[in-house]
Amino acid sequence: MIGRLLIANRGEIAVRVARACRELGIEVVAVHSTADRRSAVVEMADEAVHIGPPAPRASYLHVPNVVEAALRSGADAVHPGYGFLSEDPDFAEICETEGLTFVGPPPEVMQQVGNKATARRLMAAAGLPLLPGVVDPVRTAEEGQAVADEIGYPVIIKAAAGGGGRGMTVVRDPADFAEAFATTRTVARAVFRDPTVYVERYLSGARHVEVQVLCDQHGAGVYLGERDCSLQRRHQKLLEEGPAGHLTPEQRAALGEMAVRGALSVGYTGAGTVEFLVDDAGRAYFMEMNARIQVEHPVTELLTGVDLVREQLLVAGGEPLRLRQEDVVVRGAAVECRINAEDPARGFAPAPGRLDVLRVPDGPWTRFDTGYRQGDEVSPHYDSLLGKLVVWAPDREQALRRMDRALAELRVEGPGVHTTTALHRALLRDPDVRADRHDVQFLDRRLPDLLVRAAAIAACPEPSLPALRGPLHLVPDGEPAVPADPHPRPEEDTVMPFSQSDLMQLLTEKAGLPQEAHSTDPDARFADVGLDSLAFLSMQTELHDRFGTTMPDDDPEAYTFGEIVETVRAAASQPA
Amino acid sequence: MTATTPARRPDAAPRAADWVSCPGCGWLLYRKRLERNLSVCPECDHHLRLGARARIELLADAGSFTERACPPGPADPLAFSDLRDYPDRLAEAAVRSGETEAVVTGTARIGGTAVVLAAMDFGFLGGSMGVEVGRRVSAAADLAVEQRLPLVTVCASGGARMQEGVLSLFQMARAGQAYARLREAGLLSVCVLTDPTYGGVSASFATLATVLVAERGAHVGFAGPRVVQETIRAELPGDFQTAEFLLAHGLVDRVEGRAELRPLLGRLLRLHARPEPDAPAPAAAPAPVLREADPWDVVQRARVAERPTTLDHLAGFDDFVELHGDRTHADDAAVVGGVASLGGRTVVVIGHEKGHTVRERVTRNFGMPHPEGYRKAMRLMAHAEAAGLPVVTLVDTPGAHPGPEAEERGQSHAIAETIMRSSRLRVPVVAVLTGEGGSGGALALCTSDSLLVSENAYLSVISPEGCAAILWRTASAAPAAARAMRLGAGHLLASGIATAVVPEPPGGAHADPAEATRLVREALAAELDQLCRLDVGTLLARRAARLSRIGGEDARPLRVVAPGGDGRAAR
Repeated sequence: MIGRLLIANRGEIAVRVARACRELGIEVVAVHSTADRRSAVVEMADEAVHIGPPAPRASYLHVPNVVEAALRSGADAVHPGYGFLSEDPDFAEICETEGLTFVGPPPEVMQQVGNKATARRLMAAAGLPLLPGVVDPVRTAEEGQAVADEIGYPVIIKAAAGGGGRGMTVVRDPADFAEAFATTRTVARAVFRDPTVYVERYLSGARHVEVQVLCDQHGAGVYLGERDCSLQRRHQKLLEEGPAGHLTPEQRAALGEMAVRGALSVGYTGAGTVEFLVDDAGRAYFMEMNARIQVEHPVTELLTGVDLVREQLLVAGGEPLRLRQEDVVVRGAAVECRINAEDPARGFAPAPGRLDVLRVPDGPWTRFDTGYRQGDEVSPHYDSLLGKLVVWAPDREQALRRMDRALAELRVEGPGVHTTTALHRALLRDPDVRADRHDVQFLDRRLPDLLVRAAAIAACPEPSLPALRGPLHLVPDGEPAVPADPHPRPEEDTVMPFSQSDLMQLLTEKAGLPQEAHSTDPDARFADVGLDSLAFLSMQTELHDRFGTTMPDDDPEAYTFGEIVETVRAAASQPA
Repeated sequence: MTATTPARRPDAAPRAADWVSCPGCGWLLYRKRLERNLSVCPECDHHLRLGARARIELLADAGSFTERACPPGPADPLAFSDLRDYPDRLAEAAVRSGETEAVVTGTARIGGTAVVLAAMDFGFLGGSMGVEVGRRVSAAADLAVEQRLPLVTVCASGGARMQEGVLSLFQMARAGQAYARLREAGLLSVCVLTDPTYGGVSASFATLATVLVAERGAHVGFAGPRVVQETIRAELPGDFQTAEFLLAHGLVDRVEGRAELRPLLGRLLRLHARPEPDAPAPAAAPAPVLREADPWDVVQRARVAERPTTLDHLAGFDDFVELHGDRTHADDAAVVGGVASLGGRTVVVIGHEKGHTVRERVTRNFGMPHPEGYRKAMRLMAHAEAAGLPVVTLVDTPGAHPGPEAEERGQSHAIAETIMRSSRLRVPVVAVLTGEGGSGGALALCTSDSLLVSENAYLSVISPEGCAAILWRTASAAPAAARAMRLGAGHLLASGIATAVVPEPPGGAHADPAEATRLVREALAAELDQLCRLDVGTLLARRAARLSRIGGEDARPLRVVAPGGDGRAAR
């Protein structure tokens, strides 16, 4: 059993771990850098050790200092949190050699799980389905063609340096592969200055679903439901929720069983997450396993009532799991919004600074995990997570509305400080998010619109979500209503035809065309509004992503705006 | 309730060996992680020194190394003694390094290719070269000649060994001679220069290999910085004698991080192991009917910034290992070259490089070579000749760099030598005029068995602007000058200067660079296929005849001009 635990982390997760320790009667040793010397966890801890300057590599990432702090302060265990040293097998091994209990899986397991190729191999051996594709870059069209033939069409050719929906081409027909390959490489080289590409099976409408597992050192393991984290921007999760309502209870249970089987097959212990990509037909493919407590763990805690950090500490202390699978009951719906000190309008650039005002939301089933207090400084040295707002409600609709209410209550002010709060409120108003039919590319695709909406919300705060079904609404008893069609398609006929002003707006968002340069002349060309061929390429990428069409020729001189608008309309009128 | 366990520090002795302090930055490193990272500091990229065995493990395919050693000879020829006896020092070095001498030799495979491998150990008396090191290194070169294998040497040495006096000094000659025979035999040798390589080793076999690869951060030189500083009392630059310094001064072919050494050696060895294609190249598409293009249009298309450059053409080759530097003074970025593979055939490629963006163009000096560029070309030609590899040149330059530094270093001589060298090179030479062919600077790479010319390329004695400025007295007459000089592929082909025209995609090479480079590769492969069938004698005779025919006067030998005789001569 652990008696005195060193938390090798900072911010909200350090506070979270310290709270669990307090409740278990474990003494807390905090470590901190110079920048964090007056942080919340330092105040809470029984002992605090200064481990170095603000730069993480010299403090929170510097193993000798962390281990020495543990030994000198008499700690017998170390909790790594997430990030920093949490997935460093060397750190786990050093802790073990120094006689410290590492809260996490054994170093060998961490090593295997942390290596993408090894993890894929082991999970395949345990019977988990893998997303067909290659981990290595593909160099020639012939090589790519061979890979594509092996994994089956449709495939997606992805620029390694890409993101935000750019530098990706979906190929449905083998005959188109060579050309698509060459084009993607050219675009990748032009836009990202790196022609490296990968080939993978293309999943339409894919969702990121991850299963929370918990395993003890005696070979027992349970899954605690799953979280859907499809709302991510360039692989940075923004909003997470549970359960994955787009899956049937049977599909969810099958996913959970698979995750536990995979985790136990590699000898995993402690809390961990098995990530899947789920396609629109509900087929799941293993992606990777995270050997740590995750940022979004409170979603699962609210859904199941299980204190995951407490369980982590008990399991690390050698105790058998008291929880059996049948004890785990997922109730209602939970949503988490990551409140980051970032400016979405400036490409999510970190916007740290002093928190002159920090007013945290409150109320029924509303939880705000943070390591900051009013007056604290958000340091530019560390990640920009300011706090996590998590709510629970009996069903998803109510949870979203509760989240919006809580977001409206949150106030963060300070010189230079921006947050993602308004963006979250814009997200909650999006029809696709409301209907739970967004996919992993949604945010990258729709970010420009969402940013405009977020700016409007920030400028003129809407008190709450407009009522959908009249002013009063009774909570349905028992089971949340299951919609007749689990995958409703977007209503096609409400879409306005693409117009030249839409095109101008697109060029403003994608190529920085100033508003005053907008042209209504259908015979005008790119050069007439002062745009170059790179702008044309950006437009091509965007047209492809939004409307599944591109102009046949990459030459901006070849088309008038009128011709481009016509082409897009023609493509939009055809069923996809 | 607080359950407190008493602090327990493990009783085990401090495991100092678990941690290493980086000699570069002082950072405390976990030994296992450092070793996983090939003993390269993950914090500052300092490459920690490696012993001979670790080097062999790093480079050779697992389990492929078979050590070879000479029977031991007399160990202390001078009966040398300083503070301690020399045999004492030898014995201690043997214990500390675990080796019998400062070099370990044997045979191995690298990336599947059989090689003779010699690795020096700085831990054995500073890797110094005495008689035994000289003997082993020379024996390794002899073994390579005997078995017709490439030789890979990893160098780490302070220089000649003092304790063996002048006998050590003469090991430089012994090793030098052994490497000369290796070169004569046309075998590839590669030296990996690691930290540190100095004195009698750097001034003998360490820099005599065909390809010199310096490990990142290695210090390599003749006289050590302290000697230099104390002798001439000069302030030395911070990067003095580092691998990067050597590269910038054209003294090594490449600088590589430790992790890249093995893949690079594998590629180099493969390129030199099987230089012939399995099947003949498909015949190039029949030359198109040449569209009569306006010379001024040709000039403008040849100069388009997006036109594929030498490196773009090379990107489509099966493999290309760039080799830098003229081994004398500098690495000219306006000329790129190296060993490449095209359709299964290994070739030495040399070409002008212009770059595309403004920054690239400035770095590449707009494709205008300095003398070091031509000297780089010459030494690559020498390698091609020694290894029996055909030479491909890609020509695209506004001209040789006009400037005082270029003149100081002998621009004319460098161009002349390059032309002369390529005119008698004992391997096939194929030149492709891919863009601008500005005067002598272009011609240096045009002397060849076959000269292919791209549809929108031209070769000119002077730029049309220059010609117009002199003869029309205004540069704006350049279009007229271009027409008057009949610039373009058509005239080059008609006059017999070019042997074939390489078609370009409609609109010019820049309209579809991928297709343009494919067409060039296809034409090259077909041309090489033809030329590589000829024996050396035929090749040289044909080349001489071809060069003599240019200008159309092939059978008019010099005659004594009788004074007042044939009136025609006197006029």
